[in-house]
Amino acid sequence: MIARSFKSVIWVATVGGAALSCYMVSLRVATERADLAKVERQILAAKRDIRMLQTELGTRGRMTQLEDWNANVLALSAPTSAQFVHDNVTLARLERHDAMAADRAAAEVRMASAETGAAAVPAQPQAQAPKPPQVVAAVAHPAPPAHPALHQASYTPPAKTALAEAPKPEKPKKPERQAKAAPTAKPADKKAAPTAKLADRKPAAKTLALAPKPIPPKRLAAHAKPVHHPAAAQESDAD
Amino acid sequence: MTAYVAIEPRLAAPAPRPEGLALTYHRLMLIMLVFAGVTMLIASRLLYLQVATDRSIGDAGLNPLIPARGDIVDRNGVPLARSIDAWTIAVHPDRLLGNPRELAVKLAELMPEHSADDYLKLLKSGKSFAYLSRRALPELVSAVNALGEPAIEFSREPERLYPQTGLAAHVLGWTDSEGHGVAGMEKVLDQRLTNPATRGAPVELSIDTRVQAAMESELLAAMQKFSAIGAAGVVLDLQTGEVLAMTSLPQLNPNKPGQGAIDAGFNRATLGVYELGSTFKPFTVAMAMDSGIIKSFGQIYNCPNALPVGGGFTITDTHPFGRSCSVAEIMKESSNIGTAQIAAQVGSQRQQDFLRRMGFLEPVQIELHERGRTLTPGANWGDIATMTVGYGHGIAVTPLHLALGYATLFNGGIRRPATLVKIGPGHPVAEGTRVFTEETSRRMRGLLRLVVLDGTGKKAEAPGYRVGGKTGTAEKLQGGHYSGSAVVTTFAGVFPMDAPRYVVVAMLDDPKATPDTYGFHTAGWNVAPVVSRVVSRVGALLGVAPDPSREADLSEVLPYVKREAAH
Repeated sequence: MIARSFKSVIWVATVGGAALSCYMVSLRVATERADLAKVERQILAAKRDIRMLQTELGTRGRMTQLEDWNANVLALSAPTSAQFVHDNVTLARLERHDAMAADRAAAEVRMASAETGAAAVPAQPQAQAPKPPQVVAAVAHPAPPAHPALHQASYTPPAKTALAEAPKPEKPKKPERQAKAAPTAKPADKKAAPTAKLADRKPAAKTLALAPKPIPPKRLAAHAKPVHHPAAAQESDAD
Repeated sequence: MTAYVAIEPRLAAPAPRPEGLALTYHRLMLIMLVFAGVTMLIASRLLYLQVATDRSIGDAGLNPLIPARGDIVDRNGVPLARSIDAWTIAVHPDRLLGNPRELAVKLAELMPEHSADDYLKLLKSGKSFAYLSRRALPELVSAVNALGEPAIEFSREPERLYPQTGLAAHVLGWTDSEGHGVAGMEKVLDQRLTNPATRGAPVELSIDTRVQAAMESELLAAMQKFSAIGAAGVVLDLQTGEVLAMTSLPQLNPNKPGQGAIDAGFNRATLGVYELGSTFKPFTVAMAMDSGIIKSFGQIYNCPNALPVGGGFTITDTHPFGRSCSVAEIMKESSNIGTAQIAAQVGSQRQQDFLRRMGFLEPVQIELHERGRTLTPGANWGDIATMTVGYGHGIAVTPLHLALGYATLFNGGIRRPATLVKIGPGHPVAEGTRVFTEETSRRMRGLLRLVVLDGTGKKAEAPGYRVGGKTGTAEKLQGGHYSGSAVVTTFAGVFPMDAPRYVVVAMLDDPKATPDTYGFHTAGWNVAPVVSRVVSRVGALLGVAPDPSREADLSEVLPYVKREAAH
């Protein structure tokens, strides 16, 4: 009876509710659409800005302006025909005459292998076992650079597994290398300085990329620090 | 009883009532229907609007990213001309509220290009509209806005901007205040650049900004060094006819075309015609080879110190041989006397025929509207004219003609029109017409390489790039007669000579002698070094690797050059 008399009310409520929800949906859609339009407008504005900035940049960096800068400041000139190398053989011949370059290349290889190895060492024991005396031994052997360097480079991948199995004996050698590669190598003599720097710059990125996940590079650096100063000091002494 | 009585009026009353009620109901119903109908109408309209209205801004007509006038870019996509929204400041003098005198003083402070009196005159003129400044900087706009005069109006109008300023100005041309091209490619492409359907995509020109900049800066340096009154330069891809650089000096800034030198708007490369002198000699030799007159570069001509040709006219040389000389030597030392004899053998008719096929007797073939009419001997094309035309006198053509002529001579003998639009899918390489035989084209390489290696064009050598070419120094016609002092010097070069790819033509108008040139004002001293420097700068950019180990085939010319002590 009650239900019957409220029937119309229920109907009205149902229809009202349905209409309301429909309206809500459409409102929602309208909001989304407005947002979308806003984003589109922003994209357009951004594109227009990009065009404006490109135009400005192009105008400021116009050829005549570059020419002026070159005439007044840079003084660059077109490369002569002698500066063009036509084949690999000529390129290789350029390299052979430069003794410094050979040294540098050898030093690079050595550093790269050392760093990769260091990264593979578990972090914890490393920090606890810095052994300064061995640092000297490791660092002060620059006499025969080329051969051991190449040898170590090819040896690197197996070293990782070897370390995993028996981390103890390998441990002490690695941290010193890490320390040496670090920029603190600067007190070394003139010849050593650029090589150390170069080595530091080039393989660093590679090493990080190659380093196995478990040790975050930051932590490694932190752990390597204690070794840092003594190593550098030792090195300058040794040289 | 009472009940009966009570019923009576009830029965009596309803009789009219149902009608009245029904009517009321009907009216109510009608009103309700009307209301409902109107509501429905509004609702459905709303619904329709909601559903059918497209609110995305993808409408091409309104897309603000499509510029009012299309962009022009170089072959590598570097913008050369763009439309930007620039601020304009305008005033409605008839609606002025403030004191015009004060306002004029303030405007003169902010925009010193006019005096306060000028501004006052403008503000008091009572005009309805006048521009104060077009393409104003935002700082100026905000400063003028701070004056607080409501009659001053700010708006943004599309303006043509040439980001590279003077670079390739004569190629690009410029637009008028209405935004229509009035010169150069702006005029040629006006339809394409303003059509809403096509202006969205930039037009790619064949110009290479880097080559253009190198050409302009080197020519400008030479022009200043030798105090020339003008210069022109062209770099052309000889296989396709694409113009990689074309310049005319003095410079012009298309952003402000009205300013600069009076003749700055004059395109010397396509509109100016000049007697280009000895640069014509290779054409004469090629004509003679094609006609079977010259069979070997060792063919001997008698080269006296002076050659009287009748009519009181005598042909002379700057470096007279005074002996018999070979074709190779004639070209190497640029002998007028020798070339005149070859031209005489070719004959007037054949010479005209060749020049016509090379396009030298008609305005140069290129898109630009600024094309000069060539000057020829016309009806007086007799024997003497044939001889002088043979070494480039008595015929005046544009530097672009010369570049196209060299392209024809070294691309295997096929003449193609020059183009300023990049060769690509929508713009294929033009069909060519054969002028010289392939054999002649090939054999000429060694001859012109010899000129640069050991002849008058030594200063055009760019080590490793195998430049070949020919110098040309022609006296200028001034007031109807040739003056010895004013000359036009030209160098037409081709590189790399072992497999020709590019033509470089540089020309200086009236260069003066300097101490460095030991008092000479000939092409070998002033314009040949320009070509050398341009080639050294752009050769590698254009994909020609300098290679000292490669060289053009000189076996056909070297045996016929007599070694002698330097002059």
